Amino acid sequence: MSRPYLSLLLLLICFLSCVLAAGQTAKVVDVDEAGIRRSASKKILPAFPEGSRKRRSQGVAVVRLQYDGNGTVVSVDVLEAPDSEIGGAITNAVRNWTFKPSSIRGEPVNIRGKLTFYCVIDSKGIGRVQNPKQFR
Amino acid sequence: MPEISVSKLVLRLLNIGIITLAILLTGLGVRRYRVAQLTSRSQLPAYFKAGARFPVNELDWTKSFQTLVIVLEQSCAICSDNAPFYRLIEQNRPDRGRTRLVVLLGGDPDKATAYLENLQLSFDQVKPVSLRDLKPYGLVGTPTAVLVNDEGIVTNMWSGSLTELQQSEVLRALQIRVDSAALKTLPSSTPPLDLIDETGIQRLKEAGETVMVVDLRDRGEYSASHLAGAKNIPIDELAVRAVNELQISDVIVLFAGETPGKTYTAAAQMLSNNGFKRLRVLKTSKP
Repeated sequence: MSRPYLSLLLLLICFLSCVLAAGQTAKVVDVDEAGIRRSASKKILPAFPEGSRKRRSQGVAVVRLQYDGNGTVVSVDVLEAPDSEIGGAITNAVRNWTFKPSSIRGEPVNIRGKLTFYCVIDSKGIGRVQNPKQFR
Repeated sequence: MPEISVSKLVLRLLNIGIITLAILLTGLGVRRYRVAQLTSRSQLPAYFKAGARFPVNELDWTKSFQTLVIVLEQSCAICSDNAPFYRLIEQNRPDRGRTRLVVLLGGDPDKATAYLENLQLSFDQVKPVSLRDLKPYGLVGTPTAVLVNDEGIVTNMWSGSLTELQQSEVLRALQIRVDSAALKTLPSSTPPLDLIDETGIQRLKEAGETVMVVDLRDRGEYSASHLAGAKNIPIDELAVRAVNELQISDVIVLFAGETPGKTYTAAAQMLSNNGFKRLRVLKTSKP
Protein backbone atom coordinates (compact mmCIF):
# COMPACT_ATOMS: atom_id res chain seq x y z
CA MET A 1 0.00 0.00 0.00
CA SER A 2 1.43 3.39 -0.99
CA ARG A 3 2.09 5.98 1.69
CA PRO A 4 -0.81 8.35 0.88
CA TYR A 5 -3.29 5.49 1.20
CA LEU A 6 -1.66 4.34 4.42
CA SER A 7 -1.92 7.86 5.82
CA LEU A 8 -5.53 8.16 4.77
CA LEU A 9 -6.27 4.82 6.43
CA LEU A 10 -4.64 6.09 9.62
CA LEU A 11 -6.68 9.25 9.39
CA LEU A 12 -9.86 7.22 9.00
CA ILE A 13 -8.98 5.08 12.04
CA CYS A 14 -8.37 8.21 14.08
CA PHE A 15 -11.65 9.71 12.95
CA LEU A 16 -13.50 6.55 13.94
CA SER A 17 -11.79 6.49 17.35
CA CYS A 18 -12.89 10.11 17.87
CA VAL A 19 -16.44 9.22 16.93
CA LEU A 20 -16.35 6.26 19.33
CA ALA A 21 -14.92 8.41 22.09
CA ALA A 22 -17.60 11.01 21.48
CA GLY A 23 -20.16 8.22 21.71
CA GLN A 24 -18.76 7.28 25.10
CA THR A 25 -19.46 10.76 26.45
CA ALA A 26 -23.16 10.54 25.65
CA LYS A 27 -23.72 9.14 29.13
CA VAL A 28 -27.25 8.94 30.47
CA VAL A 29 -27.89 9.75 34.12
CA ASP A 30 -31.22 8.78 35.70
CA VAL A 31 -32.60 11.53 37.92
CA ASP A 32 -35.69 11.50 40.14
CA GLU A 33 -38.66 13.73 39.35
CA ALA A 34 -37.72 16.39 41.90
CA GLY A 35 -34.30 16.67 40.26
CA ILE A 36 -35.77 16.83 36.76
CA ARG A 37 -38.22 19.55 37.74
CA ARG A 38 -35.50 21.51 39.56
CA SER A 39 -33.49 21.57 36.35
CA ALA A 40 -36.35 22.73 34.15
CA SER A 41 -36.01 26.31 32.95
CA LYS A 42 -39.16 26.34 30.82
CA LYS A 43 -42.23 24.29 31.71
CA ILE A 44 -45.41 24.20 29.67
CA LEU A 45 -48.59 22.48 30.76
CA PRO A 46 -50.88 21.28 27.97
CA ALA A 47 -54.49 22.33 27.53
CA PHE A 48 -56.92 19.56 28.45
CA PRO A 49 -57.94 17.92 25.13
CA GLU A 50 -61.58 18.58 24.27
CA GLY A 51 -62.20 14.97 23.22
CA SER A 52 -60.89 13.69 26.55
CA ARG A 53 -63.02 16.20 28.41
CA LYS A 54 -66.15 14.99 26.59
CA ARG A 55 -65.23 11.39 27.40
CA ARG A 56 -64.57 12.52 30.98
CA SER A 57 -61.14 10.87 30.87
CA GLN A 58 -59.14 11.83 33.92
CA GLY A 59 -56.43 10.47 36.13
CA VAL A 60 -52.67 10.25 36.37
CA ALA A 61 -50.29 10.55 33.43
CA VAL A 62 -46.63 9.61 33.63
CA VAL A 63 -44.05 10.23 30.91
CA ARG A 64 -40.40 9.33 30.69
CA LEU A 65 -38.26 11.99 29.10
CA GLN A 66 -34.64 12.39 28.19
CA TYR A 67 -32.81 15.61 27.50
CA ASP A 68 -29.31 16.18 26.20
CA GLY A 69 -26.40 18.09 27.72
CA ASN A 70 -27.72 21.34 26.27
CA GLY A 71 -31.04 20.91 28.02
CA THR A 72 -33.00 20.07 24.88
CA VAL A 73 -35.61 17.32 25.14
CA VAL A 74 -34.66 14.43 22.85
CA SER A 75 -37.38 11.91 23.68
CA VAL A 76 -40.69 11.63 25.50
CA ASP A 77 -42.48 8.31 26.07
CA VAL A 78 -45.91 8.03 27.63
CA LEU A 79 -45.86 5.34 30.34
CA GLU A 80 -49.39 5.90 31.56
CA ALA A 81 -52.22 8.25 30.61
CA PRO A 82 -56.01 8.36 30.99
CA ASP A 83 -56.28 8.18 27.20
CA SER A 84 -54.08 8.54 24.13
CA GLU A 85 -55.26 12.09 23.40
CA ILE A 86 -54.09 13.30 26.79
CA GLY A 87 -50.88 11.31 26.36
CA GLY A 88 -50.28 13.07 23.02
CA ALA A 89 -51.02 16.53 24.45
CA ILE A 90 -48.61 15.98 27.33
CA THR A 91 -45.93 14.63 24.99
CA ASN A 92 -46.20 17.71 22.76
CA ALA A 93 -46.02 20.03 25.77
CA VAL A 94 -43.04 18.28 27.38
CA ARG A 95 -41.15 18.34 24.07
CA ASN A 96 -41.14 22.12 24.46
CA TRP A 97 -39.72 22.08 27.99
CA THR A 98 -36.13 23.24 28.29
CA PHE A 99 -33.61 22.39 30.96
CA LYS A 100 -30.41 23.78 32.37
CA PRO A 101 -27.36 22.26 30.65
CA SER A 102 -25.94 19.25 32.53
CA SER A 103 -22.37 18.07 32.62
CA ILE A 104 -20.10 15.90 34.70
CA ARG A 105 -16.45 16.96 34.76
CA GLY A 106 -17.11 19.25 31.88
CA GLU A 107 -18.53 16.47 29.70
CA PRO A 108 -22.18 16.91 28.69
CA VAL A 109 -24.52 14.24 30.00
CA ASN A 110 -27.99 13.20 28.95
CA ILE A 111 -30.52 13.21 31.76
CA ARG A 112 -33.43 10.79 31.93
CA GLY A 113 -36.36 10.80 34.31
CA LYS A 114 -40.10 10.70 34.77
CA LEU A 115 -42.70 13.43 35.01
CA THR A 116 -46.11 12.99 36.60
CA PHE A 117 -49.23 14.98 35.75
CA TYR A 118 -52.79 14.88 37.02
CA CYS A 119 -55.61 15.33 34.56
CA VAL A 120 -58.75 16.47 36.35
CA ILE A 121 -62.21 17.63 35.35
CA ASP A 122 -63.81 19.85 37.99
CA SER A 123 -67.46 20.10 39.02
CA LYS A 124 -68.05 22.75 36.31
CA GLY A 125 -66.80 20.35 33.68
CA ILE A 126 -63.56 22.25 33.09
CA GLY A 127 -60.58 20.01 32.38
CA ARG A 128 -57.08 20.83 33.64
CA VAL A 129 -53.68 19.18 33.48
CA GLN A 130 -51.90 19.83 36.78
CA ASN A 131 -48.51 19.22 38.30
CA PRO A 132 -48.37 17.03 41.42
CA LYS A 133 -49.14 18.94 44.66
CA GLN A 134 -45.51 19.22 45.73
CA PHE A 135 -44.53 20.93 42.46
CA ARG A 136 -47.39 23.44 42.16
CA MET B 1 22.21 15.53 -2.78
CA PRO B 2 19.57 13.61 -4.72
CA GLU B 3 17.12 15.68 -6.68
CA ILE B 4 13.54 15.65 -5.46
CA SER B 5 10.81 16.73 -7.82
CA VAL B 6 8.35 19.37 -6.63
CA SER B 7 5.42 16.95 -6.81
CA LYS B 8 7.23 14.38 -4.63
CA LEU B 9 8.11 17.08 -2.13
CA VAL B 10 4.50 18.22 -1.96
CA LEU B 11 3.37 14.62 -1.54
CA ARG B 12 5.89 14.05 1.24
CA LEU B 13 4.84 17.24 3.04
CA LEU B 14 1.20 16.21 2.64
CA ASN B 15 2.00 12.81 4.17
CA ILE B 16 3.82 14.41 7.08
CA GLY B 17 0.84 16.74 7.58
CA ILE B 18 -1.65 13.88 7.50
CA ILE B 19 0.40 11.76 9.92
CA THR B 20 0.76 14.72 12.33
CA LEU B 21 -2.97 15.35 12.16
CA ALA B 22 -3.60 11.64 12.69
CA ILE B 23 -1.41 11.61 15.81
CA LEU B 24 -3.16 14.70 17.16
CA LEU B 25 -6.60 13.27 16.52
CA THR B 26 -5.61 9.92 18.08
CA GLY B 27 -4.38 11.76 21.17
CA LEU B 28 -7.60 13.72 21.35
CA GLY B 29 -9.68 10.60 20.86
CA VAL B 30 -7.81 8.66 23.56
CA ARG B 31 -8.08 11.59 25.95
CA ARG B 32 -11.83 11.94 25.44
CA TYR B 33 -12.26 8.18 25.79
CA ARG B 34 -10.30 8.13 29.06
CA VAL B 35 -12.28 11.04 30.47
CA ALA B 36 -15.50 9.27 29.53
CA GLN B 37 -14.27 6.04 31.16
CA LEU B 38 -13.25 7.84 34.33
CA THR B 39 -16.60 9.60 34.43
CA SER B 40 -18.60 6.43 34.00
CA ARG B 41 -16.51 4.64 36.64
CA SER B 42 -16.78 7.17 39.40
CA GLN B 43 -19.73 9.37 38.43
CA LEU B 44 -18.13 12.10 40.51
CA PRO B 45 -19.53 15.52 39.80
CA ALA B 46 -17.32 18.47 38.88
CA TYR B 47 -17.00 20.43 42.14
CA PHE B 48 -18.08 17.64 44.43
CA LYS B 49 -14.88 15.78 43.70
CA ALA B 50 -11.63 14.82 45.35
CA GLY B 51 -9.13 17.64 45.25
CA ALA B 52 -11.76 20.38 44.91
CA ARG B 53 -12.84 22.79 47.57
CA PHE B 54 -16.16 21.85 49.14
CA PRO B 55 -18.75 24.25 47.75
CA VAL B 56 -20.59 25.11 50.99
CA ASN B 57 -18.62 27.76 52.87
CA GLU B 58 -20.44 28.17 56.15
CA LEU B 59 -19.05 24.99 57.71
CA ASP B 60 -16.13 25.11 60.12
CA TRP B 61 -13.70 22.46 58.95
CA THR B 62 -11.12 23.21 61.63
CA LYS B 63 -13.22 21.68 64.41
CA SER B 64 -11.93 18.24 63.53
CA PHE B 65 -9.26 16.45 61.55
CA GLN B 66 -11.84 15.55 58.93
CA THR B 67 -15.58 15.96 58.36
CA LEU B 68 -17.97 13.53 56.76
CA VAL B 69 -20.64 15.61 55.03
CA ILE B 70 -23.72 13.64 54.06
CA VAL B 71 -26.09 15.27 51.59
CA LEU B 72 -29.63 13.96 52.03
CA GLU B 73 -33.08 14.84 50.75
CA GLN B 74 -36.23 14.18 52.77
CA SER B 75 -38.09 12.60 49.85
CA CYS B 76 -35.17 10.38 48.82
CA ALA B 77 -35.80 6.67 49.40
CA ILE B 78 -32.14 5.65 49.06
CA CYS B 79 -31.23 8.19 51.74
CA SER B 80 -33.58 6.44 54.17
CA ASP B 81 -32.24 3.11 53.04
CA ASN B 82 -28.68 4.14 53.94
CA ALA B 83 -29.71 5.38 57.40
CA PRO B 84 -28.61 2.22 59.30
CA PHE B 85 -25.14 2.61 57.82
CA TYR B 86 -24.96 6.26 58.92
CA ARG B 87 -26.05 5.14 62.40
CA LEU B 88 -23.26 2.58 62.40
CA ILE B 89 -20.75 5.32 61.61
CA GLU B 90 -22.17 7.60 64.32
CA GLN B 91 -22.04 4.86 66.94
CA ASN B 92 -18.57 3.56 66.08
CA ARG B 93 -16.49 6.62 65.29
CA PRO B 94 -13.60 6.63 67.73
CA ASP B 95 -13.24 10.35 68.38
CA ARG B 96 -15.38 13.40 67.53
CA GLY B 97 -12.25 15.54 67.35
CA ARG B 98 -11.07 13.32 64.60
CA THR B 99 -14.27 13.00 62.54
CA ARG B 100 -17.30 15.28 62.63
CA LEU B 101 -20.56 14.27 61.03
CA VAL B 102 -22.48 16.97 59.21
CA VAL B 103 -25.66 16.60 57.21
CA LEU B 104 -26.82 18.93 54.46
CA LEU B 105 -30.53 18.27 54.27
CA GLY B 106 -32.77 19.14 51.35
CA GLY B 107 -36.53 19.50 51.69
CA ASP B 108 -38.76 21.39 54.13
CA PRO B 109 -36.49 22.84 56.89
CA ASP B 110 -39.39 22.69 59.38
CA LYS B 111 -39.54 18.91 58.98
CA ALA B 112 -35.77 18.36 59.22
CA THR B 113 -35.72 17.41 62.91
CA ALA B 114 -38.65 15.03 62.58
CA TYR B 115 -37.09 13.45 59.50
CA LEU B 116 -33.79 12.75 61.25
CA GLU B 117 -35.52 11.56 64.43
CA ASN B 118 -37.62 9.20 62.38
CA LEU B 119 -34.44 7.70 60.93
CA GLN B 120 -32.85 7.76 64.39
CA LEU B 121 -29.95 9.76 63.04
CA SER B 122 -27.88 12.13 65.08
CA PHE B 123 -25.26 14.44 63.58
CA ASP B 124 -22.90 17.06 64.98
CA GLN B 125 -24.39 19.67 62.68
CA VAL B 126 -27.51 19.74 60.54
CA LYS B 127 -27.70 22.37 57.84
CA PRO B 128 -30.85 22.72 55.73
CA VAL B 129 -29.91 23.45 52.13
CA SER B 130 -31.55 23.97 48.80
CA LEU B 131 -30.29 21.17 46.59
CA ARG B 132 -31.09 23.39 43.62
CA ASP B 133 -28.27 25.68 44.78
CA LEU B 134 -25.80 22.80 44.96
CA LYS B 135 -26.56 21.44 41.51
CA PRO B 136 -24.40 24.01 39.68
CA TYR B 137 -21.49 22.69 41.77
CA GLY B 138 -21.95 19.25 40.32
CA LEU B 139 -24.17 17.52 42.87
CA VAL B 140 -26.02 14.96 40.77
CA GLY B 141 -28.11 13.28 43.43
CA THR B 142 -28.68 12.15 46.98
CA PRO B 143 -27.43 10.59 49.12
CA THR B 144 -23.89 11.80 48.64
CA ALA B 145 -21.24 11.32 51.31
CA VAL B 146 -18.23 13.61 51.09
CA LEU B 147 -15.10 13.38 53.19
CA VAL B 148 -13.54 16.81 53.70
CA ASN B 149 -10.23 17.59 55.39
CA ASP B 150 -9.60 20.38 57.90
CA GLU B 151 -8.85 22.81 55.06
CA GLY B 152 -12.20 22.26 53.39
CA ILE B 153 -10.75 20.17 50.58
CA VAL B 154 -12.71 17.11 49.43
CA THR B 155 -10.61 14.00 49.90
CA ASN B 156 -13.13 11.33 48.95
CA MET B 157 -16.72 10.98 47.88
CA TRP B 158 -19.43 8.34 47.48
CA SER B 159 -22.73 8.79 45.70
CA GLY B 160 -25.99 6.87 45.72
CA SER B 161 -26.80 3.60 47.42
CA LEU B 162 -23.62 2.13 48.87
CA THR B 163 -22.54 -1.42 48.16
CA GLU B 164 -20.95 -3.41 50.97
CA LEU B 165 -17.56 -2.77 49.37
CA GLN B 166 -18.18 0.99 49.33
CA GLN B 167 -19.40 0.89 52.92
CA SER B 168 -16.12 -0.82 53.90
CA GLU B 169 -14.25 1.89 52.00
CA VAL B 170 -16.06 4.65 53.90
CA LEU B 171 -15.33 2.95 57.23
CA ARG B 172 -11.66 2.54 56.29
CA ALA B 173 -11.44 6.23 55.33
CA LEU B 174 -12.94 7.16 58.70
CA GLN B 175 -10.69 4.66 60.49
CA ILE B 176 -13.68 2.90 61.95
CA ARG B 177 -13.19 -0.78 62.61
CA VAL B 178 -16.29 -2.91 62.64
CA ASP B 179 -16.78 -6.59 62.14
CA SER B 180 -17.57 -7.29 58.48
CA ALA B 181 -20.58 -9.26 59.72
CA ALA B 182 -21.97 -6.01 61.13
CA LEU B 183 -22.28 -4.64 57.60
CA LYS B 184 -24.09 -7.75 56.44
CA THR B 185 -26.58 -7.54 59.25
CA LEU B 186 -27.35 -3.83 59.25
CA PRO B 187 -30.79 -3.37 60.70
CA SER B 188 -33.62 -2.07 58.62
CA SER B 189 -34.22 1.67 58.77
CA THR B 190 -37.91 1.08 59.37
CA PRO B 191 -39.67 -0.90 62.06
CA PRO B 192 -40.74 -4.36 60.91
CA LEU B 193 -43.95 -4.20 58.89
CA ASP B 194 -46.95 -6.31 59.77
CA LEU B 195 -47.97 -8.88 57.21
CA ILE B 196 -51.53 -9.20 56.05
CA ASP B 197 -53.21 -11.70 53.76
CA GLU B 198 -56.33 -11.38 51.63
CA THR B 199 -58.52 -12.67 54.45
CA GLY B 200 -57.07 -10.02 56.73
CA ILE B 201 -57.79 -7.33 54.14
CA GLN B 202 -61.35 -8.57 53.84
CA ARG B 203 -61.74 -8.48 57.59
CA LEU B 204 -60.50 -4.87 57.74
CA LYS B 205 -62.94 -3.87 55.00
CA GLU B 206 -65.79 -5.52 56.85
CA ALA B 207 -64.80 -3.51 59.89
CA GLY B 208 -65.30 -0.33 57.86
CA GLU B 209 -61.66 0.42 57.06
CA THR B 210 -60.59 1.66 53.65
CA VAL B 211 -57.78 -0.53 52.45
CA MET B 212 -55.59 0.37 49.48
CA VAL B 213 -53.30 -2.27 48.02
CA VAL B 214 -50.35 -0.57 46.34
CA ASP B 215 -48.52 -2.69 43.79
CA LEU B 216 -44.94 -1.38 43.67
CA ARG B 217 -43.82 -3.45 40.69
CA ASP B 218 -43.23 -1.97 37.25
CA ARG B 219 -46.09 -1.59 34.81
CA GLY B 220 -45.22 -4.68 32.80
CA GLU B 221 -45.38 -6.99 35.82
CA TYR B 222 -48.56 -5.32 37.03
CA SER B 223 -50.23 -5.70 33.61
CA ALA B 224 -49.32 -9.40 33.50
CA SER B 225 -51.28 -10.08 36.69
CA HIS B 226 -52.32 -8.20 39.78
CA LEU B 227 -54.58 -8.40 42.74
CA ALA B 228 -58.08 -7.08 42.01
CA GLY B 229 -58.38 -3.46 43.09
CA ALA B 230 -54.64 -2.98 43.53
CA LYS B 231 -53.25 0.39 42.50
CA ASN B 232 -50.00 0.32 40.55
CA ILE B 233 -47.43 2.86 41.70
CA PRO B 234 -43.94 1.74 40.67
CA ILE B 235 -41.50 2.22 43.53
CA ASP B 236 -39.56 4.96 41.73
CA GLU B 237 -42.77 7.01 41.39
CA LEU B 238 -43.98 6.55 44.96
CA ALA B 239 -42.25 9.65 46.37
CA VAL B 240 -44.22 11.90 44.04
CA ARG B 241 -47.49 10.01 43.70
CA ALA B 242 -48.19 8.83 47.26
CA VAL B 243 -49.17 12.23 48.66
CA ASN B 244 -51.32 12.90 45.59
CA GLU B 245 -53.11 9.56 45.34
CA LEU B 246 -53.17 7.90 48.76
CA GLN B 247 -55.06 8.87 51.89
CA ILE B 248 -53.23 8.97 55.22
CA SER B 249 -56.30 7.56 56.98
CA ASP B 250 -56.35 4.44 54.78
CA VAL B 251 -54.62 1.18 55.54
CA ILE B 252 -51.92 0.91 52.86
CA VAL B 253 -50.99 -2.65 51.91
CA LEU B 254 -47.73 -2.88 50.00
CA PHE B 255 -46.98 -5.51 47.42
CA ALA B 256 -43.64 -5.79 45.61
CA GLY B 257 -43.69 -9.29 44.13
CA GLU B 258 -40.91 -11.79 44.48
CA THR B 259 -38.02 -9.40 45.11
CA PRO B 260 -39.32 -7.27 47.93
CA GLY B 261 -36.23 -6.82 50.19
CA LYS B 262 -35.21 -3.19 50.02
CA THR B 263 -38.32 -2.19 48.09
CA TYR B 264 -40.54 -2.60 51.15
CA THR B 265 -38.02 -0.81 53.36
CA ALA B 266 -37.69 2.08 50.94
CA ALA B 267 -41.44 2.33 50.33
CA ALA B 268 -42.32 2.11 54.02
CA GLN B 269 -39.72 4.71 54.96
CA MET B 270 -40.90 7.08 52.27
CA LEU B 271 -44.55 6.68 53.19
CA SER B 272 -43.80 6.94 56.88
CA ASN B 273 -41.90 10.22 56.31
CA ASN B 274 -45.01 11.55 54.59
CA GLY B 275 -47.33 10.68 57.43
CA PHE B 276 -48.61 7.27 56.28
CA LYS B 277 -48.44 5.17 59.42
CA ARG B 278 -50.98 2.41 58.74
CA LEU B 279 -48.73 0.25 56.60
CA ARG B 280 -48.86 -3.50 55.98
CA VAL B 281 -47.16 -5.92 53.61
CA LEU B 282 -49.21 -8.35 51.56
CA LYS B 283 -48.39 -11.87 52.67
CA THR B 284 -47.77 -13.44 49.27
CA SER B 285 -45.13 -13.09 46.57
CA LYS B 286 -47.59 -13.73 43.75
CA PRO B 287 -50.64 -11.60 42.98
